[in-house]
Amino acid sequence: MFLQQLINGITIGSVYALVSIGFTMVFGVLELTNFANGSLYMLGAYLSLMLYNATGVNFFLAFFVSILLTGGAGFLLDRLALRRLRRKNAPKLTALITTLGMSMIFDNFIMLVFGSETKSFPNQFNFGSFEIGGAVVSWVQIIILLTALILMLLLSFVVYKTKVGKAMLCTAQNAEAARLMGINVNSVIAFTFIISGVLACISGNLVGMYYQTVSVTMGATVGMKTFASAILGGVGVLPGAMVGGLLVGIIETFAAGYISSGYRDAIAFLVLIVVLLFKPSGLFGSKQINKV
Amino acid sequence: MKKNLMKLAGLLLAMTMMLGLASCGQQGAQESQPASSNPAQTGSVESAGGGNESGKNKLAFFLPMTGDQMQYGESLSRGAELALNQYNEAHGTNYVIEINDDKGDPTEAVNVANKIVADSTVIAGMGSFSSSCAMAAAPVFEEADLLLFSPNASHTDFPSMGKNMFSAVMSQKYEGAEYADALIERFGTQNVALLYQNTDHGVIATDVFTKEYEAQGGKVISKETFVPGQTTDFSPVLSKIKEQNPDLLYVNASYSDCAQILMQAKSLNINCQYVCPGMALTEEFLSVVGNSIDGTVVLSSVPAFLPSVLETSKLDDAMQAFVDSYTAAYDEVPDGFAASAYDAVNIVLDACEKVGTDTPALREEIAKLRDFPGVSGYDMQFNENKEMVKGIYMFDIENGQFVVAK
Amino acid sequence: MLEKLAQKMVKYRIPLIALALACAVLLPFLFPDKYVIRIGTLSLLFIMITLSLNLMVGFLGQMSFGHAAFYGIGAYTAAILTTTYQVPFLVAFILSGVMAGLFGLLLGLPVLKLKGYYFTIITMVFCEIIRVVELNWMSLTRGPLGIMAIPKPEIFGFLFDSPQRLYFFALVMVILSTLVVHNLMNSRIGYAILSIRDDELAAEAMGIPVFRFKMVIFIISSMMVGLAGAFYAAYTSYIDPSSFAASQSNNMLVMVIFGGLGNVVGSFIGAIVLTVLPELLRSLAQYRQLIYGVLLVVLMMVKPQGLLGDINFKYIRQRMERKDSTTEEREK
Repeated sequence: MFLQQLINGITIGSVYALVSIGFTMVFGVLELTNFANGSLYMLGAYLSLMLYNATGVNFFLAFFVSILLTGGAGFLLDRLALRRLRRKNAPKLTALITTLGMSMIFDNFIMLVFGSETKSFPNQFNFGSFEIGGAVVSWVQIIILLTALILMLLLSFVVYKTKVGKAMLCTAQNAEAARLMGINVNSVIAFTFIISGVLACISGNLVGMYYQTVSVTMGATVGMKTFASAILGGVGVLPGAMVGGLLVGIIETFAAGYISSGYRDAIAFLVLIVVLLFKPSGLFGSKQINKV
Repeated sequence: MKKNLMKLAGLLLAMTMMLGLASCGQQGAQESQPASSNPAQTGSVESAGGGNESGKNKLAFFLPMTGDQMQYGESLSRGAELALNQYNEAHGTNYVIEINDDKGDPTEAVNVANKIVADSTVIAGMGSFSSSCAMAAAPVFEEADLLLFSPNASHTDFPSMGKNMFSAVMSQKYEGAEYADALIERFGTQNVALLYQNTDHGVIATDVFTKEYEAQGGKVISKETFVPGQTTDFSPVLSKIKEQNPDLLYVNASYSDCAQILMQAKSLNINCQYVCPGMALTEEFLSVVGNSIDGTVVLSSVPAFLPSVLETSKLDDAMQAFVDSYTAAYDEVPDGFAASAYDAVNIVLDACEKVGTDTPALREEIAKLRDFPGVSGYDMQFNENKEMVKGIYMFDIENGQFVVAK
Repeated sequence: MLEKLAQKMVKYRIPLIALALACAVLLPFLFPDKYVIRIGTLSLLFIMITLSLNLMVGFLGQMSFGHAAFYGIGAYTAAILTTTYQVPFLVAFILSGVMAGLFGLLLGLPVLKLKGYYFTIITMVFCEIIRVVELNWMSLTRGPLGIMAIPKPEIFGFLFDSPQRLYFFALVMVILSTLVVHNLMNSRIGYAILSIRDDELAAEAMGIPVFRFKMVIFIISSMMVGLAGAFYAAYTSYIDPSSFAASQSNNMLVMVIFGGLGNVVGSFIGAIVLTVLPELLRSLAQYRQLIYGVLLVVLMMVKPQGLLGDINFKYIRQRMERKDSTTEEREK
């Protein structure tokens, strides 16, 4: 049973990791808790389902278009609301409430169009499963874990090695100084939001395929776990989000399997609080220095 | 000049405050207006052919029309609307219904309840989807001595919260026990693993089921729970259940969680008899599970109206008529929720026609309900504690379709 | 425009406060309708909650998403004490404040040392932990079955059983909590707290015991909302964990920000508007939430600081007084 639970934990954890990578990017660049992240994740899955059902051509084509659309939604979120707030020098809290309002708009819009019932989602990776040591592993589980890993590496490369990535890091450190150095801060932030939209869409679709269902509340379901994963790994650190997600998933699984299924979330969150007691900036976060 | 300006501003402020209060009060004024103009209103109702003398002609529903429970609110409101229209047509009456949104939030439900009891044209409050909302609102109705007839609250304690509380669905107290008996009758006594959602329904149904099942000689070997709405991956719990090798896995969850649980159980190679509750009797459930969990048994206290079920079983005339008219009106097949709301409206209106809209007479009449020919079940009646009891149905899943069990 | 209005408000503050108070007192008599009184009482309850949260978010600058946890702790303490143990209401009421404060202390000790967004998310997570415990600890809280038949408040033999009486109970609570917040913010601790909000390091350098003061405010804020929860339990007489979920915390925070951070009058306006608005929108049925979201986003764009967030009444008052005295001097 231990091995099976470990595999279960890694699968759940890779779902959290997938979503929290996109979330932690925005978090890192803007220091903004993006409540709309879960909504984008849901939106991405619904868009490809809608396109697929409407055209019935090819799922991957629908998937691709919905990636573009969700990236666009991420861009709009920034362009329509958040950029105006930045221009007005609004407090961070305002931006946070705005994302909360935006997520209400996205969720209720989808709910009005599709209704609140759970929809079945086509599973395009139905390759079956195999057994190791009495534990069952399905290929979709492996695909999810690999996708999370690849996306994490790809993004790490973009952020730490490319010019745009370096501009992002500069903006994260000090937006004002970045602007003085000739970085177009608005474009950098818009780019960040597009990336986070794209990531949300990919993860939404993968998770939809894995569970073969999508629902309007799917974003809210992983929402808090995403935050917890990002925090556990250290804010803005991409590998941290990955490890944080996996850890939260594994802790949750063992809590449900060995302690109590009712308290599974509470136990996972409690562990998070305890970790932060000893490592206040997360597992991989750099120690913060109080600047004067 | 400056002073005048200040005075003006002060005045303006005072006025906005008063306006704010007035707008807040206006609603109340609207609500209470019929009370003052009651005689005139009654006259008009009577001349229009309303079958009552007190000016009460409204059934006030409060249902989740927004939020995650919206789909249920929609079914319930459609069933209610249909029942009302048919009733008015058949009896030449002019009852009306009003649908209020409570978002599935108990606090909002109490707000609406207060709005409803302040409306003097209301015969009865009808709500809500969740027992929490109905139970939070119950004291308001009890205090105002107004009938609260819920189309869906199955909490064991709901009917005993006051003399005005009724529900159109079977109390969990009896449902769970009937299910246990039915399972023993079909499969004999076995080792059962229970996996239930942490809601009032899940907790009570599981308790009642366990008691009855063990009293009959069966064994409940494991009881696991989960928090609905924030759990999509059940594999940790299911792996734990697998270790215990149950003969029967009884899942109490909404259709989407149920589908998820059973498919994950299948993929973990838990090979035993699966049982799920009537909540699963939906088209969406089937479209998610496909034919991956054939052989699963579904127990329900409401019938299923899905086309596939209708092919294999014959409904009685009343149910068939209900299904036909519902499908014609809304272009979809009704579910159990719509049927319950349909019955709820009919039960209340029948009683109104018999004894008028006076609350004490009404609740006495409703409590006398026996062998009601409803569309949401058979042998429907209120027992001495005014709890709804009725017969249950058993379905099998075959080739990805529900069929009535032989 | 708003600035000028604020000046007038400061100038006429005494008649305005009197007027608002008169309106509040007269409301249940002018509109004896149960629904109006219910909305009135709910507004008052949320004013108290918003004030307590504003203390934490607006004055102390700690963005808490876990306020509903303390609200729930207060409500459950009162409910369990008055039903299972038959403790008199007043004692249970006070103990629920104490219990909420105790949890505030427990959470505050590790968490108040964390930086900004870590604090935010930990409070959110704490709220979830408390809800899961409320759901699962069947023997104590009856889990999802909820606690029924919670008795109405009774103080020294006086039973608050009618909607009017409960309304006045809430009104008194609001007046008392306004006085507490107002006096606290105009005390030495208050000034120290504002300095912590504006620059924690500088405050520490000035010899202000930052952590201790943060703790004090955190506990007071938790206690206040715990008391509000106790009132809520007795007021509705049926509670279950669904009323204390994370969405409730968001709702509370939105009220604070809508009214304006660190502004007492703003808290009043935020709580009242956002309690009444959903009721007015009720006829829009399924579009209600969507429109609420749009309104929220638009308001944040038009007034990023909240309705009254950029107005400092005290500053305006001081400035006006100074102006008055200089003109007087000149006239001399």
